[in-house]
Amino acid sequence: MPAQSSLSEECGGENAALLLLKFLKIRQEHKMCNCYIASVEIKMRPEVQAVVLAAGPGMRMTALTATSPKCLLPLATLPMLAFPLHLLQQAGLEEATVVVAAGEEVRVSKVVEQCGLTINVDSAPVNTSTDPGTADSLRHILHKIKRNVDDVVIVSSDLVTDVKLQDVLDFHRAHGSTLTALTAPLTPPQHQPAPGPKTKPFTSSDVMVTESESGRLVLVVAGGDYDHTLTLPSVRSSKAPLLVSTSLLDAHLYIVKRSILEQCLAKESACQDMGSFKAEILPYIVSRQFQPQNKEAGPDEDFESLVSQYNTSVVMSRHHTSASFSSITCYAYKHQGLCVRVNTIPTYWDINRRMYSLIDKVLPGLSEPRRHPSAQIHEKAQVSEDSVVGAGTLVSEKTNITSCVLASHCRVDPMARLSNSVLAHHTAITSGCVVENSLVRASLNHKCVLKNCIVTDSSRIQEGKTYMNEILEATPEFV
Amino acid sequence: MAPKVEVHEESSILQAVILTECDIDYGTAITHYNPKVLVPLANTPLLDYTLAWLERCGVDEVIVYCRTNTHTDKIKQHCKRFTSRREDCGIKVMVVVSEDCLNLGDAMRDLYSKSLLKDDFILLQGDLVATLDLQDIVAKHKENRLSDKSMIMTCVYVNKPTETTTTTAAMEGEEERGKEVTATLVTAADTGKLLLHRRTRSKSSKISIPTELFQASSDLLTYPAAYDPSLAICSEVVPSLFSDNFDYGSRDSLLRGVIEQEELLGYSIRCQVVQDGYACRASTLQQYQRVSGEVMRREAYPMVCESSLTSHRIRYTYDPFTTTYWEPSAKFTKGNGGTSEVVVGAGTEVVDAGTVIITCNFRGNGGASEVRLGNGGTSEVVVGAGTEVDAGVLLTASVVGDHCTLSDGVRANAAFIMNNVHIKSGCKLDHCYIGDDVVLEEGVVVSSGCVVGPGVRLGPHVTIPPGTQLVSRPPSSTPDHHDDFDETTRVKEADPSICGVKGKAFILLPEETNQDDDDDDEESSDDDGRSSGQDDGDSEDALMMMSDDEHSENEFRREVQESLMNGMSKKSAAENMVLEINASRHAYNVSMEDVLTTVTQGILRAGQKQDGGTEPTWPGINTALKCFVDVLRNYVRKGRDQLLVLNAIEKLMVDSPEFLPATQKILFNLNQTFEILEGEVILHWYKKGGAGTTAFTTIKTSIAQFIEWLEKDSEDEEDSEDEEDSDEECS
Repeated sequence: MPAQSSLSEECGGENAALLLLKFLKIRQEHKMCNCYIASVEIKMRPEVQAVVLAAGPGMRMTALTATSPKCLLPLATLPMLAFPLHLLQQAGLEEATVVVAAGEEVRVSKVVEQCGLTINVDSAPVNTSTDPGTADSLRHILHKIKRNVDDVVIVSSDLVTDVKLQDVLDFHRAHGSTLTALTAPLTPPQHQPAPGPKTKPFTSSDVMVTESESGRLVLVVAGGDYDHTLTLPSVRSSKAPLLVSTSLLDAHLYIVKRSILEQCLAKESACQDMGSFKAEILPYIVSRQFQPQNKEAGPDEDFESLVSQYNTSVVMSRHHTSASFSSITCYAYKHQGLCVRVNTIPTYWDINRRMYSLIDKVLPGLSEPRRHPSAQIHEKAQVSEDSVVGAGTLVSEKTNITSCVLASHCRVDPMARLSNSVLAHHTAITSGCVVENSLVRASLNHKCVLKNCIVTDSSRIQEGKTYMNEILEATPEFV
Repeated sequence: MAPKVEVHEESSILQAVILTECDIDYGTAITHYNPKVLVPLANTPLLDYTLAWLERCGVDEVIVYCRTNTHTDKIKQHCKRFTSRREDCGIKVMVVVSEDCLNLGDAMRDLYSKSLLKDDFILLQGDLVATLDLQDIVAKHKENRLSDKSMIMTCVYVNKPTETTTTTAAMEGEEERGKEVTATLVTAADTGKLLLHRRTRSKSSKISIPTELFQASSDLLTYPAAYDPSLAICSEVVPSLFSDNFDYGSRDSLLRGVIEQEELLGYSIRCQVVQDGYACRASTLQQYQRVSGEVMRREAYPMVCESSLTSHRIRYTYDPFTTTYWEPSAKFTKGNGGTSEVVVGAGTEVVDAGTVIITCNFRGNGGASEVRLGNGGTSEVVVGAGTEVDAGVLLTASVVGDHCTLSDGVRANAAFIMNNVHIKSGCKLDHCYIGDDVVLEEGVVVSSGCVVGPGVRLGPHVTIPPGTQLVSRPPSSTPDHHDDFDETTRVKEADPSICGVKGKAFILLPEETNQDDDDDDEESSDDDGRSSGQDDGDSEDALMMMSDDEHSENEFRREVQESLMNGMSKKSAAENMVLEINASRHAYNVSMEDVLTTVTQGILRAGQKQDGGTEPTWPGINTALKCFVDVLRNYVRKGRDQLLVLNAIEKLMVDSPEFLPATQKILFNLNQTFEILEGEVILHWYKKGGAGTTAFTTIKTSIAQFIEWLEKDSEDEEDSEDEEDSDEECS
């Protein structure tokens, strides 16, 4: 477990000191001079606790989330939630608290066994009827954060990335950071256009201001939350150039010091009315860096002052100098690889389509085959190499499937032709259907032609019709 | 000097333009005698640093650009000497002299008209000491220009991650101008294109970035305070741009113009922010002190004090341990007193416990002397040829020129002593500049920020208050020096209580307001707004505009006067005159109101001059008025314009009260004969107190008769009008 071994090295200082004290006591009592092996059992304590925010309603992809919670939408054959959980598991975390919408706990907890993950999931339901923000969700599970952890990893359920969380954690600790945010260059989707009617791309991006060399976060402004001018705070080391970037993706993976998180989520805190972590609490914490020290000094500061008072030989490290002008320092970890937040239809579409090539990168070590052994593909069916076929899927003869994603338990009847499309679980395609560049989440029981469509309600499909650039979903009357 | 340029080599020649009339001066006490670029820094003229650097960077041809004044020949000779040392096969130095170059813009326009610039060239100020890798910068500039044709200029900035050491005891009398030389830059992160350029006001101020810049580039690189060495690589478009736009006075105004009108002009500017290398302008005396220290600390390596920049020979002995340099012929004598010792470069006299005291032999011709060193770290001293340093002299961070004598007990901290200076025992110098041939008698204390001009004699036992500027001769006795001397400075008589019994010195008192005006006129707008340190960017812009305006207004006035005089002698038609004036108006971008003021005053003055005498006479003015009545009528259209004419006349009285006797006649004629001014307007103007200038009271008395007559007249009219009104009402 790489995380914990390295952690215990760093934070072991405290433990080691305690151990030594105990050991000396024992030695005094028993007069055992030559015993250097303390028989005290060293218990590793987890220093990081993970929180996965999976209660999001998916407001930017309502066509898909009407029928299924966002965190369970399949990316290729796996539910979205499996990706962040796997990321945490890879970093050696044994447990994750997952905030889910009330009523979905069971389905969510099943994800782990379904995907062959070993991480323990503690699902915490939150009532979504009041439309809670991410900060509300965090407040809801605040009591679940253990008192003895140093850092809390907050990750959104819609993150697909090939970053190694261990690297981010190391960066966080090496910089003595209070808050580290994972960022990556914003890349436009490779597969365009996404099915459905043409929509304007979501334009107003976040503004992140960092010191160009150190990566220190100076200012964070969430999507479009700025006027004609942007005022940068005055930075002490004013010589360092600042990179004002609108092309950075805030991946919504944060490592936050527990103490700060608790301060911000506490009832009497200035952020008590803030609903969103990313848009409100994060900018608040970042801006706190440049505010003069207030009285909120915790026990750590007392200790520091004692050290400086009584120990004149202590040479402050560079982290101390930065800490002396503000106890908060925030950094952005700039990841250069893949980092996508699957929160819109275009990104969902793009990731699904790319999953064939990405699956080794984003789920290393998780042997999810591209063609599940339990899938039955007729020998006379033409299935292109770059298609993903899930468990129990049945592909009949005389079908032509190119660059498609077929989730588990789908059925493709003879004479169907699918290209560049994504099929959700349990989707049946009746014979003679032609599906191009479409997202199909409901069985096609009638012969039809779909081009650039999203289908979530099969009753909308009529025999022999051709649909283009449409969203075929259950209309409110039917619901 | 004619440019000797081989045609076939034209494309490969790298040119540099050095402006010697730098935007900021050292003050008259120094530059009156020596041009700024020839002021020695660590006993080497500033210009040599620039030339040596350019030479090393492979620049083929240097144009030293200066204004015609008393120093022109000095600069010419100096450049000749510099090149002759290299037997004319090294760098080519061409001195270009211009009559009326007021700022960088004028210089560019002049060079453009002389078509001396062929290709990309380096533009810099003569007070720059730098070791940047110019070849690399120029290569990048050319590369960028190939890929982006719209790129016309690369500005070079220096951004060192570590805060440069600030001089602890700044020269007093000099304002803190460190912030003036830094700029806030916003560039596109990928291309380096300059998107925003702002002079940094204060270090702690927040930076605001217009969000519209995100449209230009998604990633912006912001430099909160990059040091600006006023160095730029310009393409041949830049001089033409300056000559197309007469309102571009300085590089800053060009930057602003090009950035703001990017769509219109289609040009862009990039900047290179350099991390390595040294570049600093000795722009002010304070900066001079800083650069001097840095050169002595060898930050500008390979330009170091011990090697001559002109001949490359080793001229000084260098002790790296104490950072002291001395010419072998300098004498460091051991004094007669047993306790005396030459102390060179001790940080403090009283050495704290724990600091290291190193005693070593300081070899001099006069025998071994003891050198005591503190570890203050400020032990930079340069001692020139033939200088005699007596025992018991303490020098820190100072430069002593050639053939000086420093007697026993002299203490000098950050003093810059030029050649042939004699300082007698017991003098204390602190952060000051001592010019050539100065004699300081016993016990003179020169406080910080003082400038002692060449030839001054002080003492004995006087204390010069901080920030004093002393010159040897009252400027009235020096008519050969440049004209603005009298205007800028007020000079007191030599006062023994200030300069001592044997002293011979005059205090130069710069008049604050005048000085500023003068600066604005003389050196254009580069250093504008320095008087308004706390102002934000907007008002700085306003200030900048004002001074530009003032300058152009003066020019405009001169031109209008000229065309009026010409018109009078040639009896030109009114339309032609109007055409001529309007042309001038457009050239200088003067508002209609100013035109009217200028024309009114110009006509009256034309009358005076036409008459030949200095005293204006009514007949002369009358002919002028008759001659130009149509011109004036062309400009007077509304009632407001009439008021402007009246105000213009009043202002004329302020400047030249000799017009006063004619005022009544002028007004009467304008009112009655030419019918340009309406009686009502005159009355209204009169009642409101005119333009509110000092001259109004005198005008009031002189035109009282006319006003009385007018009042009577208008009352009659009013009566009749009232009658008319009532008639109308009735009907």
